[in-house]
Amino acid sequence: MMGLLQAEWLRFIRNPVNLWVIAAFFTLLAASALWSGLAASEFRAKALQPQHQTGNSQVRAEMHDAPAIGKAGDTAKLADSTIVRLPALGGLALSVRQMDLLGSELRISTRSRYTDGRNSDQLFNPLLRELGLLDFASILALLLPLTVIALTYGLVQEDRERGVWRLVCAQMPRPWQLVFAALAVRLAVVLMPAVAASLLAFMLDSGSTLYATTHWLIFVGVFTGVWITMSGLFLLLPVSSGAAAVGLLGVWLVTTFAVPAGLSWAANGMQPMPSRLEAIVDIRRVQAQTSKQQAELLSAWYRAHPEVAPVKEPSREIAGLPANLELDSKVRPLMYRFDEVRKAHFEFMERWSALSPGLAAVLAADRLAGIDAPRYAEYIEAANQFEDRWRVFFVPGIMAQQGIPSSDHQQRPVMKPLPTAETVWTVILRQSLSGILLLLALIILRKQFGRP
Amino acid sequence: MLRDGRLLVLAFSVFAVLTGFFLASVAEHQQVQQEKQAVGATAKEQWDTQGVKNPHAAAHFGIYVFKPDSPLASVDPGLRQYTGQTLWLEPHKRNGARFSPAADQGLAGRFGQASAGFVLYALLPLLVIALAFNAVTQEREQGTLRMLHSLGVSATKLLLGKFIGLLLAFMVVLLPAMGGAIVILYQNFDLAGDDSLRLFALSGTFFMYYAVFAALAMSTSIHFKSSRLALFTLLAFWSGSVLIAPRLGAAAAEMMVPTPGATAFWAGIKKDIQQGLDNDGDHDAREALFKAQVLKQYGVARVEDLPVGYAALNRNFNDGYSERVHALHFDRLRDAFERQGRFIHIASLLGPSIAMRSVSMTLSGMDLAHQRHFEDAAEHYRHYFIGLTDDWDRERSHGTERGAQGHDADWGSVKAFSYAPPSVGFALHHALADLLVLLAWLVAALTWLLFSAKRLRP
Repeated sequence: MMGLLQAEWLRFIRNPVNLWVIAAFFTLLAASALWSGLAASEFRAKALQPQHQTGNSQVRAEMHDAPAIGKAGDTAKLADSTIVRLPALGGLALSVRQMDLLGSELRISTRSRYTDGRNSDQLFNPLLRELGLLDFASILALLLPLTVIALTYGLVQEDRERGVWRLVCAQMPRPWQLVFAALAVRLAVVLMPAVAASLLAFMLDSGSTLYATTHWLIFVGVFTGVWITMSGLFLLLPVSSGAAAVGLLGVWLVTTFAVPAGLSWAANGMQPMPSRLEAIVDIRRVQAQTSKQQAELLSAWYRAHPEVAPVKEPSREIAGLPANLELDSKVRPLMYRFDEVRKAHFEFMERWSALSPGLAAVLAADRLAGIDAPRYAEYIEAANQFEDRWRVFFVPGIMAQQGIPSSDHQQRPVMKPLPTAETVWTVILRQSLSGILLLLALIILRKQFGRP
Repeated sequence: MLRDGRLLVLAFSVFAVLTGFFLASVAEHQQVQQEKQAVGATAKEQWDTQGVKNPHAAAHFGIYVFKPDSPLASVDPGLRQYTGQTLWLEPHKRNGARFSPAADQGLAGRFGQASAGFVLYALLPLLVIALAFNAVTQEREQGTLRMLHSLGVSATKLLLGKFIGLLLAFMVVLLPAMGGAIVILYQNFDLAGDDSLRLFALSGTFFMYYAVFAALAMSTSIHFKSSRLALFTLLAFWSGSVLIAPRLGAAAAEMMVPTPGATAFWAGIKKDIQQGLDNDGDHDAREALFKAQVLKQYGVARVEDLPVGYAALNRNFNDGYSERVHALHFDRLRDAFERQGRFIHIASLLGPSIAMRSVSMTLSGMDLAHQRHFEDAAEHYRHYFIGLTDDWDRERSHGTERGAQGHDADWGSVKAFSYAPPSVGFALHHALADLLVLLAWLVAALTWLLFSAKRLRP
């Protein structure tokens, strides 16, 4: 078998087209790795920068005619000026730009963040997102299968068309060994640039971890194996090399584009995503209701907090605060539904990821980067809990118009940290299962290669 | 070509895929439009029935507006996934569009939107390649090219014949699906003359785009000895044009034309409002100057003695300044987005797909230029209705007294937002650069085809 491997290796490297393919593949992957690694590092550096002081109550120009609220002003300002960020994980370089789509940076305050996009929405050029950026996992998921197809299609069919395969069958008792050797050489040759570029991306990301790197490399190995085995099965087909190429390309198109769209449709059918537009109507209903009940809610708040003496002439800020808290308590569950459904869709897609290697790649990358829907839902829940404790700490001081003594500031609540690693074994195992099934099919049908 | 078995298989596949995607796109488009209309009507009704309250408090309830998408958005939804679905108009602040669908459906569209547009610009060029990659190599491999050569058939005539035959065969494949799509469009939407013109221009541009791929595929088939190598080269070109070039262009544009993040953007606006632009003075200085002007205008010594509400006057003055600052920052940001869009064209050297993609979304009214047009119209409307509430507040109060009240009749008198989308001329103007890029590709591809014909050897 070693002799066969050596022969196939020589045959591979002596074909300049193969070398061009590998060079182009590596160049593109390396460019993507460079961009992704640097972007991830930049993202982490920005997260460490001091927060901008842009709280709602901080610019008098926008508060126009709001009456002063005395000592509580500083407390209100402080209560309004904290930002929490979704902590990225060790695999951020794999999926860095997905961070832009979700509100990974949230303002914690006494007002509802859901009614003001400035508190959570990201700013980006929609055109760049539509065209797609160079996120490493997406590029690898798109290019690696194409490279495998380019290097393997028609290996047997072409020899058969030229009459060479008849000779091989006549001279070898087990011609399948030659095919397996050729596939093994291609597996190694495709894996090398994929692994090298992955390592480059992780090296450039200042926050990458060994855990994320190892798990990603295992996934890349399985992903490459699946595509090589699939190409091997196409070598069995009694068609021309061109037809085999078109067929493989069809499989790539279906598994990369159609299957994820179908799974998304199925997931939405099982648990429909609520409408953001309908949520607007619900939010406005709650806004109208709490606005009407403002005075009532103010009195109720003081009744519920007998330790705080009611302010005789409350400022607009104080008068509206209980209504704001009531509004948020009703709006939050409405908005959390979206995160719950996204989480359910993500988990559904993970369960069916064996059907689409490309989808499996982005699912694994999102998990390793820490931007997956289940973790995001957990983050929102943690941020909400933190915001509740934050308000319990600050609101009495504001409502008493006394403020919080600076000596007490050290006791400010802090957000509960999220887990520092995400498991991707579900995706890896399902993808491995799919690879093993394909390999078994190839092994069972191997004798078909003996047909001249 | 008609005797080629591939044609029937491909025709059936194209019809099934394009019709399927198109029907799904039409259904989605209709659902989105109906939802926008229903939610818009309910939101306006909520505005109209706020009851008795201070006009400025009513203004803070705000109004939601929605961009009515052109029927052609069901052919190409363009940037719909990434632009917000609605704009909230409120006093003091200009907001960006919120709730982009991509945030809720991030995984399926990671490699491209499942839309009729994706089939047209990404998958159909593959069909052209599948039909043309062996147009000459097969003749060479089978020895028929030598026979044609010996019969004295001119290489240019032979190739042009093959090229025209290919385009006609492609049209035979495409026309049933296109015809079906047009019938579905006319049945489901009330297409105006402008929409028909846009559809006509879009169809013509797609034809140009496919002609580029056909000419390149034919020329490649001449230059390579084996069908395998020709197919390989064409697939590399397709993936470069459709998959790689847009991403490289977008990444390069992002690096070369940086834009601020959300926190920095809003902080910049607040800073300029607080500190003032150029030599305008800070907020306090501007307000003091305004107060002096008002007192002088009304001939009183104290604001308490003013015959109109000072809070409303002062607010209106501050809002006027805030609008100026917002406009400056929003225009700066959107200009940067436009510059990024132009920068992406550099990657058009790798293939015509970026230009086609841009023309398609522009003619469908789903690009940045149309979004900007809508946002500007919404901003005008914001000035209108906030101005009305300020007028009521000012006229129904006096001095520092702030007891002005409005009623449902006032809120109901605010005209509903009515948006007139720009004409096809606006779209063509914004698509001009991309059309020129496509034209350049077509000229280059045809020139190469003619040049290749002269080098054709059996």
